[in-house]
Amino acid sequence: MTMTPRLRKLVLTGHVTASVGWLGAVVCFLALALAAFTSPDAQRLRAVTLAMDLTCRAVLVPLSLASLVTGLAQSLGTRWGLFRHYWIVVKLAMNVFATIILLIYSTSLAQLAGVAAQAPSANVDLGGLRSPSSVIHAGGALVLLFVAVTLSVYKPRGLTRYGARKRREEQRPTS
Amino acid sequence: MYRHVVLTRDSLYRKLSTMSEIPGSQPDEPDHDPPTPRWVKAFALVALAVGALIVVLLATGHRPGRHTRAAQDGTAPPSSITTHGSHQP
Repeated sequence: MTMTPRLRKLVLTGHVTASVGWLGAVVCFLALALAAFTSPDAQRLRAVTLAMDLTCRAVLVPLSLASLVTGLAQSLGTRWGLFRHYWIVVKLAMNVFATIILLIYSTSLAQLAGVAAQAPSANVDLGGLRSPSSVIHAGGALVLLFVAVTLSVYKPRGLTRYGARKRREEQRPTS
Repeated sequence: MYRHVVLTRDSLYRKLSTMSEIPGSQPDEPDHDPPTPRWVKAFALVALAVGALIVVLLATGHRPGRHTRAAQDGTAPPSSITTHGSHQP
């Protein structure tokens, strides 16, 4: 199924917005993660952990899913296809990997936020909130998304075997 | 009155390079499968390295939520942060 030009541009706009928005949100999350990791102040640590959890649930997860869905629609609804070009296959693999890691990490972060939200009078050691895990995850996501944006812009050449076979079939004269 | 379109060398190159990005606009290719590009092999190597790293981390006990459970159980390593908002020496 091929999309009409108008629909294709609409979906492309959605895909670029979601993907670049995801990249920007990861930069903000990295700043929060660094603040949590380096802050000696317990109040600030609680606040930053709660903000990270909210950012993850309300911004990162929706944007990652939107990026995945619009990317799938964009490739399946145009002649680019999903498995014809290596750069699209690589981007899909990176997007799925990042989304799975994000969904797993969001559950961990929700539990950390639960610890941070406990009453200040509770006898809780907040040291577990200062794990470098958030910084490592956000840094990895930033690298991954930057590579994805670069692939989208440069579109390096290379047809998969499936793509080459499809192209040969399309070029073969019909009798 | 005619409207002339002047194709300079640069604009012609630009048009040709844009055309080459459109699927199906590239010249005929031979019948055999194309070789895997070098950049794809490099990406595959990096992916293998990341996969191996994840396996090693999981094998050594770095499971998701490890720090969380430690924080909830109070078994996290002793820290200098208390619930009362100040940094203890």
